[in-house]
This record gives sequence, structure tokens and C-alpha cells, in this order.
Amino acid sequence: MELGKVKMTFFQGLGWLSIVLGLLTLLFINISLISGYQVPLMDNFSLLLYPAIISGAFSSFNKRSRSLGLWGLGLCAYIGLFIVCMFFLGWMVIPFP
Amino acid sequence: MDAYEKLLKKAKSSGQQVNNGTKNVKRAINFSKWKLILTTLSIVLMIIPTCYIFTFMYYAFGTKSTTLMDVASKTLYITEPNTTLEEMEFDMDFSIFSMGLSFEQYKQIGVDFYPAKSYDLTFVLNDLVKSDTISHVEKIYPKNPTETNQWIVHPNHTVEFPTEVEWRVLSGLPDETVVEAYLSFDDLYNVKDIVKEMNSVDVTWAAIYTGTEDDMVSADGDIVSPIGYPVQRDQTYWSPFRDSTSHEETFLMMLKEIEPYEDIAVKVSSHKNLELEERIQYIEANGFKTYGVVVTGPKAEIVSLRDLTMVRHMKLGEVKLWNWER
Repeated sequence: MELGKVKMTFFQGLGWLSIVLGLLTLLFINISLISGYQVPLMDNFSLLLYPAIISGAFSSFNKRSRSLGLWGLGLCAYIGLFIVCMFFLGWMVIPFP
Repeated sequence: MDAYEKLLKKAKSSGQQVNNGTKNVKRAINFSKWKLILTTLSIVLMIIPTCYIFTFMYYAFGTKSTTLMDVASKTLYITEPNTTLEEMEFDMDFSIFSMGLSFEQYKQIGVDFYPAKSYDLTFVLNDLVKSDTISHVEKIYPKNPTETNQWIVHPNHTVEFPTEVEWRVLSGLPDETVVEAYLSFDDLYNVKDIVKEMNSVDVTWAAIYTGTEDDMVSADGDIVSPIGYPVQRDQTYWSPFRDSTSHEETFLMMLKEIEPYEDIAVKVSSHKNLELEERIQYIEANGFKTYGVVVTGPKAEIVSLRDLTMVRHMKLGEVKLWNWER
């Protein structure tokens, strides 16, 4: 009974961690966009993004923390989509090397 | 155990259950509260990146950023006499649903190119909302064009500046200078003939007669300004005249390309109106004839152009120290 509770707390913790890391990455993206600094996205955000993906993936294995894990993974997927879009669209709209 | 103790035990255990229930409710409320806070945060933090994605999609698939840049640069090539742009000097900056475009414009004086103007344009989607220019030259072409304040004029038209004074100022300059001069002719000529006639200097830009320059007013009664094209070969990678076999045809093609974006072109240029449809039709029907050109070269060579009967007016442009090494 106690082991089950610890397990649940652990997975829920991973889920929350995934969400918080995803939100932190989003916050940094917002700061870089608003401030106008050309921050190389992948280099700086991967430190937050990879742990967010891993913790989100682990958290989604457990039934009771799955919603948190999927939420974290959703945030990571959105950030990934944003990076890919900005890379390819940026390549299309800015004709200079 | 007597009945009293049993009753006491029962009461204690039911109290514990009530406590556990309250704890669970509190935990559920906390969980929901944090979930709500983080959901709101997630949505708020997604707004700006999503707007950027839509902005980039608009400039990639809607009105392309490169199209706006082309319209701006081509407009300047045909509306600003004796100017050129440098590709690598273009600076693009994107923010939410808007695009900033900054670049430098150059002028040929003698054989060297000097910065003429810095442009800073801001587009909101495809609407040019801000156009700031900083001029780096001493002689500034009229900012608010009228029918009579042009530097290059049609043979039937008059000028506001005294040509005699301009020639005297030019004569007074040291021989070790190179100058830029705006010449107006007594008739309409072929550009090739003009280049042949003025072979001692560089003919940099030719104003083309488009049927509206007799009084600088279009058929609709709008004030227009001279348009034309760079005459010399331009090997700059960015230039629309690079590898052009006929600058005249490239000029006409540029006019047609700009026509759908005439509103933007008017705002980018210093002209009040471009009236491209009317002018394109005239050129297609009547061909390319020039009534004035911009030349640059050694002061003495420009002075000697006064002897040509075709030269009716001269407006002195920029003057620089000698660089005429050929």
C-alpha cells in the first residue's frame, strides 16, 4: 500500500517536473522573442527540453500520472513544432545566408 | 472491554476518517488549483510563439518577404536617379505580424560609390506603415515633388533652378573634383545615342518619357515625377539589371512587376504618384526615349557638355574629390 503511494507520488512528480520544464522553455522562448535577441534555439533550450521529454515520457507510463505526463509531452511537442517551423519558414522568408 | 470503551474507540476512529476526508478534499482542491494555474500559463506562453509562426507563414506563403523587398528595391532603382543598393546591406527583422527592412542606398560619383540614404521600412503584414530615411548627401532631391521643382525636365517644361548659376558654380569648382550632374535635353533622344555622345563621362541614369512629363501631371491630374533606369552595366549580384541584355526591357519588366504593389511602391519612393498603368501603356506603344540623364565624371568633362546643343538645363549634384582613375 505504502509502496504504491510512493510510486504514484514519484510518477506524479515527474509529470509536474515535465510540465514545469516545458513551461520554463516556453518562457525563455517568449523572452528571446520579445527582447529580439537572436538566441540559437536548439543549443540553449535542449538543456530543459530533453529532461522535460524524458520525465514526461516516464510519467505517462503510470495511469494516475498519465495526464500530467502527456501535458508535459504536449508542451515539448509544441516547442519542437515551433523550432522546426521557425527554422524552415525562417529559411524561406530570409533570403540571405 | 466495557460498552463505554467500545463507544470511545468507535468515536475516535470515525473522527480519523473525517480528518482523512478533509485532507483528501484539500489535496484535490490544491491539485485543481495548480492545474488551472499551469493551464493558464501554458496558454499564455503559447500566444507569442504561435503569433510568430503565423507571421513567418504569412511572409513565406502569403505576401512573401522577398516580394516586399524586391518591390522596395526595384522602386528605388527606377524612381531615384543614380542610385544602387547592396544586397548584403539588407537587414530583415521580424516581430509579431510585422517585418522591418533596413538597407543602404549608394550613389556613383566619379567612379566610386558613396552612401546616399539609409532606409528603415516597417511593414505590418503587407502594409508599409513606417518609412524613415536618413540622407547622407549634401544635395537633396526635392522631397515634396511638384510640377516644377524637378531636377530633370521635359523639353516642354520649365525648371525652378537657374541653369546659368548652376553652370557658373560648376565652373568654379577645382579641376581635381568629380561631380554628378542632372542634365535635361532639348528633345527626346535614344539612350544609346546619348551614351555615345557623352563618352567622356559616365551616364548613370536615364529618365524615360512616359507621356506624362510634358507638365508632370498624369491623365488623372495627379502630379508625377521622373522615372527611369540605370544605364551602365551593373554586375552587382543583387541588381535587377545584372546580366540584363536590354536595360530598357528590364525597366519595363520591373514596372510591370511593381504595378500590383503600386501603393507600397509609392510609399517607398519619394514620388507622390507613380501612375504605372498609364506609363506602361505609353512605353509599350511608343518605346523608350529619354529627356534627361544623370552623368558623373571629372568636373572639366562635365563643363564641356555645355557645348552640346542638346543640353538645355543642368543641375549640379554631389561633388567629391578626384577618384577618376581608369
